[in-house]
Amino acid sequence: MRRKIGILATLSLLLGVALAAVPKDTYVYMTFGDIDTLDPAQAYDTASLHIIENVYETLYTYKKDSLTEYEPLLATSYEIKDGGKTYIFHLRKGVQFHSGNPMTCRDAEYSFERILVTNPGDGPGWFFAESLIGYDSNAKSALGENASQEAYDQYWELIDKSVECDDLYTLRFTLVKPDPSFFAKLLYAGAAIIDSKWAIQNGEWSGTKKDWLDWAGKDLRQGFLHKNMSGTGPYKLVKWDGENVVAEAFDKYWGEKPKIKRVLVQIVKEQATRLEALKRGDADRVTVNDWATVESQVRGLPGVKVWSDPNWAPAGAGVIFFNFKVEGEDNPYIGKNTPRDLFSDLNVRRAFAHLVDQEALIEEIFLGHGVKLTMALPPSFLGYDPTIPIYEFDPDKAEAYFKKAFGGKLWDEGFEITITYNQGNTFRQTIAEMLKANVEAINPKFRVNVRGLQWPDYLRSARNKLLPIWPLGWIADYADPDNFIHPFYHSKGALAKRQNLKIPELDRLIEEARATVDPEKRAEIYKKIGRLAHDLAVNVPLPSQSPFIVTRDNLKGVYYNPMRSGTFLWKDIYKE
Amino acid sequence: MLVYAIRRVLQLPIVLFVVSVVIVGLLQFLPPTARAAAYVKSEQQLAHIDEIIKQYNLDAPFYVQYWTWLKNALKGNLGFSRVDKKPVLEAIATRLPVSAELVLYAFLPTLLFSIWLGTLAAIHRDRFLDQLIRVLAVVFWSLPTFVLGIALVAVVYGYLKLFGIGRLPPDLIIQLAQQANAGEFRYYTGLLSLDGLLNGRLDVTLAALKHLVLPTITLILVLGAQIVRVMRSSMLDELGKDYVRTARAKGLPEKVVHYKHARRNALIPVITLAGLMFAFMLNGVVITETIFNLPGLGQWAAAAAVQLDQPSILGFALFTALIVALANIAVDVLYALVDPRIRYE
Amino acid sequence: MAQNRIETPWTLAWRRFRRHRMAIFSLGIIILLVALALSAPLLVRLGWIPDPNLQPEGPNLAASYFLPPGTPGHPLGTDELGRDVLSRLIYGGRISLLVGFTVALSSVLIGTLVGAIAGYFAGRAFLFFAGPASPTYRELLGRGGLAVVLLSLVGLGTALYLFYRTEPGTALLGFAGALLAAYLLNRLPGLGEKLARALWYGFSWALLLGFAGLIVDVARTLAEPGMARGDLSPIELAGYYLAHLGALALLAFGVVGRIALDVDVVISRIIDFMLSLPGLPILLVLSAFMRNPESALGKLTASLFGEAASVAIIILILVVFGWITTARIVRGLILSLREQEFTLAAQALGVSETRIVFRHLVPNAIAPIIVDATLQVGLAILVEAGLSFLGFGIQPPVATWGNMLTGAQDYIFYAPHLAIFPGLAILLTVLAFNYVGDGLRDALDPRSRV
Repeated sequence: MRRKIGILATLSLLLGVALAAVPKDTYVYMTFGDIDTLDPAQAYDTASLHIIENVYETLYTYKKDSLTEYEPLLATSYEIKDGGKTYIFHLRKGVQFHSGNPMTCRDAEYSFERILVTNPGDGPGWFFAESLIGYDSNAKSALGENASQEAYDQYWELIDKSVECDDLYTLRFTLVKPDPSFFAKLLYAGAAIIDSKWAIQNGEWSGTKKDWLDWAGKDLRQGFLHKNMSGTGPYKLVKWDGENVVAEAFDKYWGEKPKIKRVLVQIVKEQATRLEALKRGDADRVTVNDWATVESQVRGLPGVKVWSDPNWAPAGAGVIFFNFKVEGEDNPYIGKNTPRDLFSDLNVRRAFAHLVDQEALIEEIFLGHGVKLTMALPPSFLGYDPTIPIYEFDPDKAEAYFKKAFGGKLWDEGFEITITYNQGNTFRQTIAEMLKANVEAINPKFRVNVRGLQWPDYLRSARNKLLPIWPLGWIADYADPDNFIHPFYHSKGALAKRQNLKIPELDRLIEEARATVDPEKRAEIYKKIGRLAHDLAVNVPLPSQSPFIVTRDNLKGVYYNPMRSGTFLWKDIYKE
Repeated sequence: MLVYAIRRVLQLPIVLFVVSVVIVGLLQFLPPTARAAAYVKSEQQLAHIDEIIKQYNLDAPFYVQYWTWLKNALKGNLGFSRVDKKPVLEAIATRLPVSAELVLYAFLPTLLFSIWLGTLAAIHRDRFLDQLIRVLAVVFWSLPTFVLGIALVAVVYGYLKLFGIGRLPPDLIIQLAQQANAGEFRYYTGLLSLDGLLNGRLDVTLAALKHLVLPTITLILVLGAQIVRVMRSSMLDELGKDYVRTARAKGLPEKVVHYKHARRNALIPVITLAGLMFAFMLNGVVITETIFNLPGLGQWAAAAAVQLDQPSILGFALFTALIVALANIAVDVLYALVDPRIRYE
Repeated sequence: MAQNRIETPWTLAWRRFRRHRMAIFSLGIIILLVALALSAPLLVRLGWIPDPNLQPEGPNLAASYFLPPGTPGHPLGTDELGRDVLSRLIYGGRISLLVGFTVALSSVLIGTLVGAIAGYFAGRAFLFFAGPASPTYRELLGRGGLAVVLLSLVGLGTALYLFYRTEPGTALLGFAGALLAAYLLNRLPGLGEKLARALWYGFSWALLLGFAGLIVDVARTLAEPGMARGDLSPIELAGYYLAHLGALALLAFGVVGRIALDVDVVISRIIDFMLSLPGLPILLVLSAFMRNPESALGKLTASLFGEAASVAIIILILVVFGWITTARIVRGLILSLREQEFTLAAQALGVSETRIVFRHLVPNAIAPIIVDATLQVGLAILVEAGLSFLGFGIQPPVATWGNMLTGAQDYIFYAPHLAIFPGLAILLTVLAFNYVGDGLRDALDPRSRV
């Protein structure tokens, strides 16, 4: 009996031993986002790019937290020629891949051509293809499965010609036409230089015309680079088991040696568990869902630091879209007697804009930590104009506009529409409910329904132009205003075309900005676009949440760069 | 007996076939855009949803999609799990050990413990011990798994700061990953507690066990309650039968009557339940895995269903059907061993 | 013994039930819960509890979130959005009980019906199909042969029309209509039975034709792309022709053959199959499928129930899996009751089969059915809570105990009261139903002592 008690006591001691905090040279980040893939040509989500930006390197990159200053990484300098049609990069010498292979222009050429060749529908390749070959998708998707051999050959020629090596350390891009946003695209973490020799040895695309068509549109998640990485970055991948990523410092890194030697990115779905781990010191950084949690549960915890700054702004923008001409028979989102072109009347759009209480949104959802946007562009981007006015919350003005709409007919006859949001997005849900309350309070004949849709249905209905009015956002792929202005304001833009927006003046200005290389002139054009869009109330820009970072307080060197998926690079941090 | 078992095994493919048809068929009632959910992650892809549907052939008719899947499945390729970003078979292979480890530590204790308690309750019918066991059994049966799990996490992990969540502490995850790469640590079975021993790494075994304590307790309490109830009533039935009376009349000691005679027969319904429960546990105890952050089969299945990831759902369903069927066969065979009266033609 | 009072089995059962103290106590709790659930809107109107979805407004919102239990105005505190926990708990109870009762009632009804049919007709094969040249069909000819042939043709025509010219929903409706017509014809005196069979056989021909057509159709569609490219493998080509041959063979068989099906065998096979199905993925797929506003069922539920569509969906899903246990129990009981003297007597007296099943057999099996129903209520509440917890069940803002717990899990260390109350509510309710079930089992068992 006594022996039994003794065993029990030892056992409970062993089990009860408090876990030691994370060692000083190790960084543990607990987050919820599943990593989709480690292949730079396929990755298009923050969780994946977070790993990629630390293991692979691009030609140039952002300087710490700046979006407008860059520093050379795998290139040492670059020149722009032919009025913006040719870019020449001089590559860094003596750089080694994690596999031990030396990095040369062959690798750079292979990396970019691979993006253009594979370009899967759910990947980021489209914006490189747009600049380099003038198509926005892979050969099979752009030309069709059964296109002629000739057409395919021509497509290959385009790819082959667009990226060339002048010599072992000189890379030349030839664009179809000048594109002022091209340089910004090269800063995208997925524009990484991969180890071509190693990739080809392991069964990836051969880099030649021989098998290029087999790789067009292929799901790269089934390839070798999906799970394996050999980059030039300061960290090399140790293991990704589908859940956690383990990385360690690369001892032959060409640059300054990082202070953090080991990194663990752990997927922990439950926020409560993440917070508990942070409290105990098992994690150095955790993802926290919202400001409400930060204010109520995180602030004031011993040993925990909340980083935030009113000047920080995410590289994203969201707006409420108005559909100028709702489509679809038996459309459940618009009343039978409601004019399909309800929002083609400027008065209606302005009235709705005056009924969005931006202050209340910031207060209720972000607990005061938010910024109002004047246009659909992140404030830190070139061309953002903070002086453009914002439609303030004003039911009286809204009423006046409603009375003027459709020559007064609308006021007498009323309307019925449905505002939709994607289920689970409380911000958009609140907007929808707020608009319903504010619009219906003005005239009992105005009926607004609110309906949450599943994400794919939401996208599908928007795509089929069924939704009369819907909030939607966009996160930057690359830090160039065109990544927002075109989709949000051009009649052919990915988002604006869903609202049947056709304003020739806007289209003309956007095309003009695309052809303007001088940044200052471009900025002026974008400001003009912003102002015009405000006057016409083509959409209502929504406030965005001020970002925050939650870490242990001994973690130093933390900064916020909205274009970094992890907001900072592992190599820049250290622990005290 | 053997013939019977073989015939049952031969029927398996039919069951699997029907299961796969049912699942693919159900999924086909959804529009292609909904099935594209697994592929669409960001707003950006809004513009490319048509290409995605085309790329993955999501708008082909039901039987074309099924045929493509079946052809590959017969070749041993169950498709690619979008949820896990790896082939379905590989996903099952990496997740099964996680679930299996849990079952390993939960199943036998549950079974032994609850058979013992059930017998005890029946023998002490209507006395205090019986009342207590019954009340506890009903309470734990009525207690949803997730309530118990959450309570354990909150009290034991959060408040008492004991044990752990997930499979290993962060520093060990890093260490093992590095050592596995260097060939210093090998995953022989995928069961961490066992691999630790095989590699001579007691610390790994201990850490793995430490992280298994809470989920194991959860399972033992919830599943054990069911078995206790069945065991008690079945034991009571047997104790009321003539042969028990005869045995007593012969003057056999109570212990022999209870444990040699009655309990043996009372085990039959328990075997059925236990067999099903084993299959059920091996197929992932979704809620337990979710709460304790264990990347097992159940978590995978739930994620696959959320995203309507057809290959994963199918892979999981087939695996489950297989395990359930095998467990049923095992139960039938065990029956015959426990009860010589049962014969199969 | 009181001689002046007649004791029906029910009063006897009630007496036995009353002795079961826990069961009586539990019944009280259930009644209280039901009363609370029913009067919830009234309580809100009286101002005793706030609206479950009411969120605080005004400045300093954070101060009204996560209020602990015992706060004035919020006896059980508030949740992460400042909503009143007590009120949400009561409203959640409405849903849980609604789900529990509806599921139990529907599954028991369906299970009893199916189980009774299977049990009663076991061993009596139903002639499902008889070809136009089969001996069975030729027997039907003879007197009134012309009417028989005409009716068969009508059946064939209607069925073919239903298959090829209408939506699946209408076709199903038409099919049910035809079954009803056959049943009504069957009740006509004289030639009725003959005509009913004629109609049914005509219908069954169409089924066979349709099936043969389907085989050919599927084979063609599958082979088409390969044929166009001309790279069909020999096996595939063989399969293609085999499918055509198979369809032809089926048609040939259809002319002279007959198929008899034992309803019991069919039902038992379905039950076996359902039991071997992996419940979880099917449950989850079903839930996704019915929730989708694009699918026919999704459209229907959304238009019928609006906000509460997810409640209807969860009920449907639970019933799909819930009837099996009852059906098995009832089938077993009816199988043995069928052989007893009173059934034979009823049959000898010429009592109609419907009447025998529902007036003589089912009432004799009522005790286990009731017990099963009580236990099913508890089980349904548990499963609903589990599904909602995983996010597949009832969607917010409709409050249920399950989805309250999902939300609470995020704040478990910070505000444990958010998890404690719904957890306790589920425990209490399921416990109560279990005890009532136990009590009923003892009370309704005629062998148990009074």
